[in-house]
Amino acid sequence: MKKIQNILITLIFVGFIGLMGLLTFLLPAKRFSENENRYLQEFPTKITVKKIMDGSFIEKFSDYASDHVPLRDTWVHMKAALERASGRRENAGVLLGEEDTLFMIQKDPDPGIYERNLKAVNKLTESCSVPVYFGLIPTAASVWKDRVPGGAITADEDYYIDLMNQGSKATALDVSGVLKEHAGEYIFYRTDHHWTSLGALYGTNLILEKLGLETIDPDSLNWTRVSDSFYGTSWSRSGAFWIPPDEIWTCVPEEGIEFTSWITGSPKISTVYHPEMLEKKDQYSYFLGGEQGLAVLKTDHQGPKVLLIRDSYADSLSPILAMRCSEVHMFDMRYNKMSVRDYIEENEIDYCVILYGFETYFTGSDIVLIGR
Amino acid sequence: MVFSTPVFLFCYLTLVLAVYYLSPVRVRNLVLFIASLLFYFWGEQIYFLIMIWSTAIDFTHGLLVDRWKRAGKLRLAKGAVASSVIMNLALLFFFKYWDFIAASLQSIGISFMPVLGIHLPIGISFYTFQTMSYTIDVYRGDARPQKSILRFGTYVTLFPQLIAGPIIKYKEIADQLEERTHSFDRFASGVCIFMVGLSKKLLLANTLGRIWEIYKVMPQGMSVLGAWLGAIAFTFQIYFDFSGYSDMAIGLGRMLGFEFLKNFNYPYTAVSVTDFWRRWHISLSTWFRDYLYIPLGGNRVRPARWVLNLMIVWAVTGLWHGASWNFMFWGLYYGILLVLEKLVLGKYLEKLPSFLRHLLTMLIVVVGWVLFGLENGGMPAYLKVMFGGGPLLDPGALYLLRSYLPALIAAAVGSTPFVSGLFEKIPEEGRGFLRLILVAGSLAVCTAYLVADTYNPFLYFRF
Repeated sequence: MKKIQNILITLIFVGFIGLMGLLTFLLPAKRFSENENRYLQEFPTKITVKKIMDGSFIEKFSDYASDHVPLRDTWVHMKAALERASGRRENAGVLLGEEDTLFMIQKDPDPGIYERNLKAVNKLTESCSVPVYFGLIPTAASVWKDRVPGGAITADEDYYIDLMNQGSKATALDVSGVLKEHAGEYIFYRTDHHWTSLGALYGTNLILEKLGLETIDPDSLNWTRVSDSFYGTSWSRSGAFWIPPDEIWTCVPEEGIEFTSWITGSPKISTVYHPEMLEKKDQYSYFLGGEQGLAVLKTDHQGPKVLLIRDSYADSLSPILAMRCSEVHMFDMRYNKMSVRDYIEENEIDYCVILYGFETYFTGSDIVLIGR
Repeated sequence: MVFSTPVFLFCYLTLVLAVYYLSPVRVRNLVLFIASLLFYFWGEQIYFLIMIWSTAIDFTHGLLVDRWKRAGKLRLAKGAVASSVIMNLALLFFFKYWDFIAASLQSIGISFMPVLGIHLPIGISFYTFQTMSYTIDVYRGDARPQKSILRFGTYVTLFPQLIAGPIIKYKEIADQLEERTHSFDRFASGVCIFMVGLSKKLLLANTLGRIWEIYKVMPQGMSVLGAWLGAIAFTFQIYFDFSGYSDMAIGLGRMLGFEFLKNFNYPYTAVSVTDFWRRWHISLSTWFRDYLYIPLGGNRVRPARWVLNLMIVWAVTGLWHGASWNFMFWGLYYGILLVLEKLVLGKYLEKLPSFLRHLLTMLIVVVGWVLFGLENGGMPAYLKVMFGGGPLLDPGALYLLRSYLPALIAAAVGSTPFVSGLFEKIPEEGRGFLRLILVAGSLAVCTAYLVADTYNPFLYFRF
């Protein structure tokens, strides 16, 4: 009896690790992990003495083995479920909040980064010929405080945003205040760090108000639900597979907007909305189609030309802002190293709005380029 | 290569076990030797030459010591032992302590030693100690010299214990290098111990380590509760991490037919500091006892000399853990406590009820780990908060306590023989079945944690 049990234990162990090992290499290699939004390590086929001696082959091989563990997502989900079962209300840097809401934990940012960024903002404000506005968008954890697990340790975003607003020479946009006024509404995705189109609309109105333009009444718009199956990045990171998906809504028709996208690196006329992205994991790219260094929306409206220095939060905001502008230009400093000042001159921009989500601004190292 | 990674568990171990068991018995040491070199090369690349060098030195010195001893040339034999010890210590000194000493001297204005930024080859503290013990044991007649460099190399490089111990003395496994038995029973018991170790590491040590991560930087507004939570979490983390590694090593050893000695014996059930050190990292304390404390004269000397001996042993023990002052202070802290316990306090302590003695010992141990864990002299400030120098509670600490309470309870229970005692009470048939379930279950759970560790959502460009 005991003998049989020991044989079984041996077989289970050896069988399991052997099968996992074999399948790691026998199953077809995946190139892209949609859940993680990154390319997986390819199998290192080029083996040279140099690559072996400097450890780069070993590193790639190890990464390949990690990235191609059979049933990878299932294991990650299982760990998330085990963490929840053992009483924890966070996993992998994501807080599991009330009302099926997930929050990215924000670390206290490094003063070296945000002070440099602030200096760049001030340099642009002082040196460019048009008025500069500066708004930082807090994460849902800061707006929906009542849904955050009590006592959870995440940065006090209001403190840091206030610090920036106090030190900035640009006109501050109190995005946090506006979003808090509407905290009862569906202004953030529950499974993603971005704001919803409704949140973006309130952000737009704040900008319009400061620019002296007419604000937009949400009820006057034609709201359309384009997806009810959006699982965002906080959902992917947390592994909390039991959390239901978000909905994506639009409120502005794309007709009447001429959209030039630099998504491939060179200008191309594109559509504002990308229904093909709704078939993929990263549905937020429905708005404008994904990352791009430069993007320009042109309309027939009478209105100013606005330059947005921005991150992806502006993807859903820009079509709404375009309702009151003749042109909306968008700069993403991560992919666009042109001088902002020169661009403003060359394109006869009327207003410059720096609009960033909390994490991009407080951890981003490319924002300093604004000042050039 | 770290045991708790997919590449070790699913690729390397599978391959090694397959080749090992498919090979005829007489070439299995060769298989292990090559496999172990690959294991070390995987993590350290070119530095594996140091290990080979250390192996070659001690192999030849062992033979010389034996030859001269048998020829009656005791002084030469002694010289060979000294030469082996010096060469090993020189290696260890250079790679582990040069930069520390250079930086320490520079901080007081002496700068003849430049700080070189030397890479510390992993496991060097372990294998230099192992090989040194070999030549000494040959000289003492406690071990026969190994005539085969392959067998000796297998001993030095044996991958289960290579990077984190236990420190296996040559005499303990000399016979097993020549002949060892392989059976399903032994293999299965190895699997069980390995899985216990892997679970300790992944489920308890890594989990509770997250609390210490938060508190070791002494966040603003750290409360008394938070400080204690951090210190206790670290206390458990270090035990489950280290003993988990030892368990995995012992388990892997058994899968390959080896039997290593136990390295931890429920240290957190100790009722005195002496007791604690009999139970903690046993292979290290016995090494220092056999090869340093006793040669210094042990306790068969005048009391003043004995105290000095102890202080030397404990300063060195501390420094062995890392080239930094806090480790030395941590060692001396125990040295002083042991002297106090033996000379003054022992007779009073014995009269206390055992739960009080246990509590007192654990207090000493927890404070010790704070000293151990804070490298940049943060210890006084941290201890100050622990003992009342801060607000009593804060919401963050309460949140962490709530979140990690089940893990803390599991760790506390897991630090005692309670669970294994319970297990022994189950009738034999049931126990075997339960073992089967536990192995399968822990494999699944550990894989989930192992894989989740490698899951790196790349979010940067989506903001």
